[in-house]
Amino acid sequence: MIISPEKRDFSTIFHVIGRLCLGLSMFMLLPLFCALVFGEYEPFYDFLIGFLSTASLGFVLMLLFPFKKEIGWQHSFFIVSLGWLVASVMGAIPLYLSRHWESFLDAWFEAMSGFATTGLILVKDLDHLSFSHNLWRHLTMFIGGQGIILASISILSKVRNGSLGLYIGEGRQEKIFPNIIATARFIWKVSFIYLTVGVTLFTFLLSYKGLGISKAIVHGFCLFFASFDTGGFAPQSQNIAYYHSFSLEIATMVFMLLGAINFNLHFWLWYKNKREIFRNFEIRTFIISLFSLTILLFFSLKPLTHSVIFRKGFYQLVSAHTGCGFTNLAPREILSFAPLSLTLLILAMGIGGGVCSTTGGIKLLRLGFIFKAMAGEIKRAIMPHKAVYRESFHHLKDTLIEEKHLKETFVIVGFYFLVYLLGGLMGLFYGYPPLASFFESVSAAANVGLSLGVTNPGMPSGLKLTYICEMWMGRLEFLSIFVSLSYIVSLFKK
Amino acid sequence: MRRIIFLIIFGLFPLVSYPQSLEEILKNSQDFDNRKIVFEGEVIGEPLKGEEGVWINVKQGKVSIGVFLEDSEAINKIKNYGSYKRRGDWVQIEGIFFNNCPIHLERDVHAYKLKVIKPGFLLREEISLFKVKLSLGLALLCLTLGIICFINLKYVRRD
Repeated sequence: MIISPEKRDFSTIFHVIGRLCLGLSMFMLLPLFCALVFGEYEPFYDFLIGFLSTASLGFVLMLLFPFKKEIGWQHSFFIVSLGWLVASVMGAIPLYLSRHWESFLDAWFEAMSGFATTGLILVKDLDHLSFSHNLWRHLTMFIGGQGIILASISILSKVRNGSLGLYIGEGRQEKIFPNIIATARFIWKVSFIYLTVGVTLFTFLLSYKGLGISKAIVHGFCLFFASFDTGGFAPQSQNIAYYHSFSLEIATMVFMLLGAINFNLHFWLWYKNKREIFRNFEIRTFIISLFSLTILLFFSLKPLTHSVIFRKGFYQLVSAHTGCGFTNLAPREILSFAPLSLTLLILAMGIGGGVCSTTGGIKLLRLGFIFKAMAGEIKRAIMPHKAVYRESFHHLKDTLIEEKHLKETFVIVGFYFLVYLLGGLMGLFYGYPPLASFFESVSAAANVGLSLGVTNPGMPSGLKLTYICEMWMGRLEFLSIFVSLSYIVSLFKK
Repeated sequence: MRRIIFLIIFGLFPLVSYPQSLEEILKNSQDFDNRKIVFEGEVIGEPLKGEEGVWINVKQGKVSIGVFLEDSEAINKIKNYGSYKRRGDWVQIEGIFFNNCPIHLERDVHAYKLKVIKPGFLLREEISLFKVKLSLGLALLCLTLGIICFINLKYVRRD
């Protein structure tokens, strides 16, 4: 039996979406202020319109739909799925008004790419985009990286009762504290500490390269948001290659890796046991995976010198594996990579980083489970018939791998493969080469942002919509969206 | 055969210093590797410090590339760098294209000649009247809705 939502349920859902809109409008005040500081008057009006329309929508929803019922699981999934769509549409308004995006669809694509921390771009003439619009593009990654709903529930009192559902609905499996509000605040605290360190470091490196102090600060913020939240946007069209700085590339790599680590692990390293980093199952899986892919990539790029392989190949690999999408390659340079190198990057993108981090993809814990399950089956086969053998793993504590772990892993991994495949087939349908189609599809669904050039303002609208769906589904890890869809179907069966 | 024709067409251009398409250079990077190229484009961003030289980024159409100038004084010719408020100087670059530069380990151009073809200029912001009117309308709407919402919440709380 499926629980079918009632009218009162929708009232609560839309009320919370209204509050979410109000929260989002507050974030728009930051680029609005930036536009004033830098004397960018046309962008000022873009953000004023964005702020006012988002806040108005929030007020309308709150007035029309009163908060009638405490938030339950079914509400949570609806709120999360719908909330992300509404946030990306409203977040696209100031972008579209700037005329740097050909259509509203393009602006929506960019906003979804930002919120989902993907990094695929459709902006035209990025090098002449205002500071405030650039700040907003990067800020969407910070908001999305924290979780749009999580960002709201930590400040909105009425939503607290159903916060666990909202938290899980945004694709996070683990709580850090028993209380979700405390978990949300810890995630904010970690992010703000890293923000301070990151922005200071990036500002220093950029001003050393010759950027003026105000520009260095804005770019510092942008690069931090894009690296720590594994987003991959950059303020200039050449991405990281614009800066011609090896030290900056190393710094971004460090923040990409920090962003790809489970927030729970950050908590353990800060407050409990620093040695956890050496024992953690996810970290071990990551090291094995990164090491194996690096070796293979090294051979696939072999004609190049070791230093070039490190600068170009290893950077792309870390960027792909952490789901960031930064690139230090010149335009079209990635196309000169051998098909094997590109396949390895697809693999790295498909895997992603830690659970409860800002990365997308299958995630390291699930990859580890799959290998553990395979090894377990082989061991069982060679053991005596009556022997009982169970695999365990160490992730913060020693845990036995149970049936439910494997079931959940195979379901989510199955969904990811299905979405990767369908997106790739859509690319093929529109006439793109197979490798490029699958590369782009995995990049969108795993929220990475590396591109072989398929993603551009001239690509078919159907493909833009496909990638928007992939980014949305990949970021929320399917559960919220499929549960919401089931509820909608149940309404028609009534 | 196509390769020979291509090399004749694009290989002869540098001899007579005709500017080439940067898009074509990047598309056929293997053919231009370690060769002299001439191209034009807008200087964007700002000059960036490099070891024993300075970097500028030059954009032509949809593509850009880093240009390394050993002669740091050469950038004094550039007065405008492309940004939101400014159209950068349109320059002609003569230099060697490297697919994998042995010094900088990236794809770049080592320029030995830089010429400003067309100076850049300040871009005037044109604030659309529609946006101003829309902002005013939305401000009134938002304020009214906000007041109603506030009263409504107060009323609900008292209830």
